[in-house]
Amino acid sequence: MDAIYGLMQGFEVAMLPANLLAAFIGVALGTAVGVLPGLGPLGGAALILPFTYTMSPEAAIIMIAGIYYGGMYGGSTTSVLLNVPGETASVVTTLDGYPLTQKGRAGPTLFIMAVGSAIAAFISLVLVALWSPWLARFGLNFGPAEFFAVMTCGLIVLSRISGGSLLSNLFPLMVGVVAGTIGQEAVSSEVRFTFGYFPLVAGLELTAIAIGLFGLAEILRVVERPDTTPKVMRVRVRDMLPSREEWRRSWGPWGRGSLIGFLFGLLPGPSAAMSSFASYRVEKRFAIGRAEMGKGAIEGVAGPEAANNAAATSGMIPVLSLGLPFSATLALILAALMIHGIQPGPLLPTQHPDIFWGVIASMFVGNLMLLVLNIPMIGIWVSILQVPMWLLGAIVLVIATVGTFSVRGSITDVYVLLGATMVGYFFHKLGFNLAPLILGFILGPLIETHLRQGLFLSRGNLSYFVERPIAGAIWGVTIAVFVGVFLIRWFRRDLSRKLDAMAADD
Amino acid sequence: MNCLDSEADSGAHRTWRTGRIAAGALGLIFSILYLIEGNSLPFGRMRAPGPGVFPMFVGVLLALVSLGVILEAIVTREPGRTTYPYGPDMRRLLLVSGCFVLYVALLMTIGFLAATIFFVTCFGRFVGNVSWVRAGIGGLGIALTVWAVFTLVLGVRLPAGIWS
Repeated sequence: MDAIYGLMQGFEVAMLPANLLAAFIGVALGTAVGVLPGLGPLGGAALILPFTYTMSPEAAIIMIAGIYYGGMYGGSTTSVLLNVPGETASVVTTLDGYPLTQKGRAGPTLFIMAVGSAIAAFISLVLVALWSPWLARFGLNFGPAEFFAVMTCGLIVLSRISGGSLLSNLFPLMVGVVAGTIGQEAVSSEVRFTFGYFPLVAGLELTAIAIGLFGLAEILRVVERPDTTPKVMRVRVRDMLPSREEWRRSWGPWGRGSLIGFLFGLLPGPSAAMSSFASYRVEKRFAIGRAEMGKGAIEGVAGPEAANNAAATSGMIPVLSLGLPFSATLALILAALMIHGIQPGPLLPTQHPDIFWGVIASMFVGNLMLLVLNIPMIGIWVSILQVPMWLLGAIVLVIATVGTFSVRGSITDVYVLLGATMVGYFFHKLGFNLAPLILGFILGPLIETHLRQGLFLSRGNLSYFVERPIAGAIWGVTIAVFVGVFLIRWFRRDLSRKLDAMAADD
Repeated sequence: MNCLDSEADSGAHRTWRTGRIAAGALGLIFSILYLIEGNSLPFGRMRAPGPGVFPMFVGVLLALVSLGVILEAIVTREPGRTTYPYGPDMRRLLLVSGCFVLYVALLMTIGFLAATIFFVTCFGRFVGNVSWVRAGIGGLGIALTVWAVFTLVLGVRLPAGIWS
């Protein structure tokens, strides 16, 4: 009952003119950055961060969230039309999306994607409403030991499952955590690690680091490649309506994809990308047109697109109710909340229901906007690809620099931006994952605070951090995941070695 | 062709190993400096930990992880591949990076408008291969638009440099 009341209150907040405008700007910018090669939703969210400082907290979060799911939709548009995924979660969409375009079904595919995203957002919204009262009650049992466990274990699990070797994730994670300790410390106001340079007393600015790592480093990679403007086919609005057969075949994948996406959004890791891959595998087994998968089956687009959208909505639950972001974009949302002086946690749905429910409801409203924005205006989005890359690159670099400067009026932040750009460029080249760096930077100071609070409360007893039931269970699950992933990889490697040996014998 | 491919592959593997060793070494050097600096911070007691405890812990972890990165780069049988651009691509990247560094350096000296016109003009010329005139017009347009949005709409004071 509380959830229904909360949801109604959420829709009231989401429908306020200022918040509708924030959602509109968010999804429009998100679609644009998703369509553009190079700059993804993460870079877009980082670029918009300095502009959200003067907004209300709800509008700020609604706008960043809009960029997040708008970017995923935009990324999928280029997957379908050009076979070029705008971001990781859209890679799967190329498998059937582009063959559908080659069959002349690009318009209906984009239509199915947009409707599926809105349906997934709605299903996810209902599941969030059912889930959140329980989570809020569960969250009330959280103290420093539980927060310390959930944040530390979240980072550890993320490092293990984010792809690449363990060290490719741990190294940037530790760099981020260490960078987070620079400046005045929260508990005793002691100034740390400024190495005598006074402007560092205020700490490194998150905006500078996020924009440098995910926005400008990406522009440098675009500069590397010769300028190519892709040739895009024209999509007319009247050709976009799906056939009856396509509608019939999409309902199942939308439902399955939404459930898969919802569950993945609650887990650590790149949930949007992982859920779209998982949904594709499920569709390969259960879809009506499974025989056509990979050659242009509508289920191969409908399922994964619903999944990544549902994951975007449910990914908000751990951020808002536990203060725990499982991806870099969600970490930026957490940072935006904290900048506005709002501490996300179990008390958020009761203390700030306007923010909790407003953001969740706005995701449904935003997805409806995406539908309205994308179906009739598909030609405009695609034409963005025709704008010369040098012009877009120059605009992004200038706005990034000025945006970073505008946060605190400090040129030191611009130097930090420059440094973060170089780190982002070289780390990417060397195969280090960048998401753990920003997560470590944001969560590091929170982990330190919970660690010190826990030690104060337990009078220095370290066993306090594992003997409480929830904290102990979290550590147990983490160890199980860690060992499980190691064993699975070891068995796979052993099996492939044996198969290679058998093939060689034959 | 295969011979060329495998040569390129081994070059990319070598670049990956060298880059990783360099990154690990930088991490290690920084962690040592960090631990030396952190040593002067109060540690407090177990029941009332001071601001030096957490940094000491993460500093040691960074040092160990950096060592791990170096060792992994040396001993792994499955190295990654790293390729840097070369020829005109490398020239373009270096020119743009140089212009950007210069832009940041000049921002406070010659002010936002002049620095932005200079930077966007160079960017258009080197990346877009457009004429100096077209690039200059682009520079002027972007500089004025961004200045108007930030100053007149958002009320942000942009650096004016020597013109202030």
